[in-house]
Amino acid sequence: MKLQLGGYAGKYLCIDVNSRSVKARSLDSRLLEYVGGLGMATRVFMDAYHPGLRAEDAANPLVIFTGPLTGTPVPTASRTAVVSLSPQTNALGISNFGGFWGTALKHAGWDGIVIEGASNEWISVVIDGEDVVFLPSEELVGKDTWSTQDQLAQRLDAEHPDKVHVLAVGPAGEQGVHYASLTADYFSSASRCGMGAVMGQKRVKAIVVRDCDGNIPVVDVPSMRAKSMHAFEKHRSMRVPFGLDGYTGFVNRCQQNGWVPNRNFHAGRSSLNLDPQIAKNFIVSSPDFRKCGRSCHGCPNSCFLSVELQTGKYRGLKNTGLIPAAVLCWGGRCGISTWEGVWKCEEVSDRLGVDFFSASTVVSCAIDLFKSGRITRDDTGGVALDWGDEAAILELLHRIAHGQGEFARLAGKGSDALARSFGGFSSTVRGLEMWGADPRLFPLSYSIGDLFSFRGGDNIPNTHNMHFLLHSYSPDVEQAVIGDLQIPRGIKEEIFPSSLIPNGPRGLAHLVRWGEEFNCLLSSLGICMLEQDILHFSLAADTHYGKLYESVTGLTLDADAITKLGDRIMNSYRVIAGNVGFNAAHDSWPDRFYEEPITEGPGRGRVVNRSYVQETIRQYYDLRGWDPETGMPKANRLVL
Amino acid sequence: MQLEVDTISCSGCRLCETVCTLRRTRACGYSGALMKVVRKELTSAFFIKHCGTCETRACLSACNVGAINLDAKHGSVHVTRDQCRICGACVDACPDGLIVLEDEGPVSCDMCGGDPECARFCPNGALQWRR
Repeated sequence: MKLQLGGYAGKYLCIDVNSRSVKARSLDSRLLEYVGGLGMATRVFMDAYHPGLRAEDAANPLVIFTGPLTGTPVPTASRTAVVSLSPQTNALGISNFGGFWGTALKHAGWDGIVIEGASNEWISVVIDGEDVVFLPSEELVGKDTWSTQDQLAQRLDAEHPDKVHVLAVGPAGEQGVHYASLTADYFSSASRCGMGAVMGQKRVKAIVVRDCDGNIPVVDVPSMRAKSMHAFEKHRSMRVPFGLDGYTGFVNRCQQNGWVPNRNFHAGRSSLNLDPQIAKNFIVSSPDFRKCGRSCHGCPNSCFLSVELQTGKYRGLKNTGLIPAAVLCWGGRCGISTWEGVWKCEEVSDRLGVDFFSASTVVSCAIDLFKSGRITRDDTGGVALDWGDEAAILELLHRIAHGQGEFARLAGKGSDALARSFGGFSSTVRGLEMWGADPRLFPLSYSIGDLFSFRGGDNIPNTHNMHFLLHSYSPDVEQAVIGDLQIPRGIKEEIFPSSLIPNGPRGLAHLVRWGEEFNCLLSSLGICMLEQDILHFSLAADTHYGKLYESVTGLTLDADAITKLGDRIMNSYRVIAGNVGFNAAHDSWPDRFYEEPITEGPGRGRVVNRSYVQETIRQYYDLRGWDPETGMPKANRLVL
Repeated sequence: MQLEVDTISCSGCRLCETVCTLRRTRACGYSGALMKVVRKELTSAFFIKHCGTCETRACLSACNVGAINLDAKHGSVHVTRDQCRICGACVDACPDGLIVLEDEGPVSCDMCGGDPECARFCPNGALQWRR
């Protein structure tokens, strides 16, 4: 029986694309313990999982879930979680995207979708309210994500193409590139962990949701409205500029602080020197093409920048989905020295459907191999690779995404695969390419999340939001920031007893664990993981988000339930990681970061302190109740 | 007092539609809203349409009984229930679908009685209530 709760549609779809069977399942009380989004997707995945299951198996389900706050008027409540086995790590792959697709799915009457099996022919799954249709899609094979969106929208509703929400794979997903992404509505990508490859292996080109007139009830509207308004007021008071100023300001700050990674993380100073004034030349402002940012559903942050290139070799490029991290990836790691070049690479990776964090790592690894003489044109299929050579980089990207040539197919398996074949340096943690922050350059309190993350080399699920730790404060402001931090009592004192420098390895371990718990909560509710980046953790997990959940759904979510939710998600990841051979030894950055000091710039002389990191890892295992030797959850404390 | 739109500042988040729907229906969605955001993803062009932005006022001439009138104070239209025969002509005439036919008759934006919810929530100042 369908549950009559607020916040939830109350049911999810199980679609077997092999037998073309469609089943509707209700959310039951057991599933509701996992809140929604990431939590529910993890639970549904774990129910289908068995040791030995591989990412490429048809039995590997692709689980997509919205949260109970997705689509509500709560700041950044747009998110949808994607969970499956990752081809990059073979462990649990956890990804997440915003935009409007998840909201449309809830309006259509579904909290989530599970795609099972593998189709024999290429299809798109079209969800139109209660109806699910399998649309033959052979003619879309080879099309990029934008063309796929355009063609499906035209086919399904030519009059109102904006009412057709398409979650698509590009050529990279079709070819099984390990770091292929899923892209919704052109720019909202579930980019990390290779979820596009999983969908591609199922021969599903797209999952389409048509706008419908449905809506999601709220149990206590006045209470929800008050909480939401409070959060929006926080945004107004703490506003960090996005749009052009935010975008170029971030890049500028990275350059000034020496936070830009050098070519494939070599020790020298990055040559990246992008002038914000030049970027401004490409910002066109008119009612038809806007200068300020673009938002996902209900988001006050508008973190996507829009540019239009009216001159130069990429004339005509219009991109409204630019984010500053791409500058560190393409500009820093791959040595591209112009704004246009960075933006072109970002656009091409979006359209080909690859995760640009991983793709730029793979490209930088390949250039490094070429420059060091480990590979030649004979290996690359005639492409001469060099730092900042945009044409060569774009050519390699196209070949990887289309699986053209032996080298490109190998590169499609990730930078570890390249390093295994040719030697050289691959910047991964537990099989996932690092997103781009050089741990020698950034404070450890920000970068260390890479080592514990439920993805691999990616601090976004835990310490990425700790941007407040990257600022310099006067002593009184620092105390005010500490005072505002809504960290549970006792834990806050463990982390920041007197200043914003975490209190040794134990404090750092607490910081990571608490960051994970918070992010697991947000990703389960349907809130953007980057929300606290702006709000500096000034809204408490239990008294703000817990109460918000209560007012929307009518169910309770207290501090203990929030802790249990985080533990369950982290333990699930860890158990599967253990099953595929990861252990404590893999909770480490590559040796380069501990052994090769930065030679130039503000970070000169820095390396990561290995013994400090190892002690932090020990403390973290202790906090989690994981085995100090193996780094795995102990059977007697395992909660899944 | 008017609801002013600054198109350049709109980031297309559709919060205005969501809070309008919530106020009217006690549920979250876009379809219950008496205003609309049209998103053009590839150009980031977002257009907000509400009753006060209408240039044609086709609803006024569509009503044969004079039940719908311009509310000069707020710049939107107002339906006088006593006169309305619930024929739905105004609903059909509205070019942007901003008049909704409910059991009691057609409903249009009344600017929330003088404190529009959409402007209160708009995070970018794209919708502003000018007193």
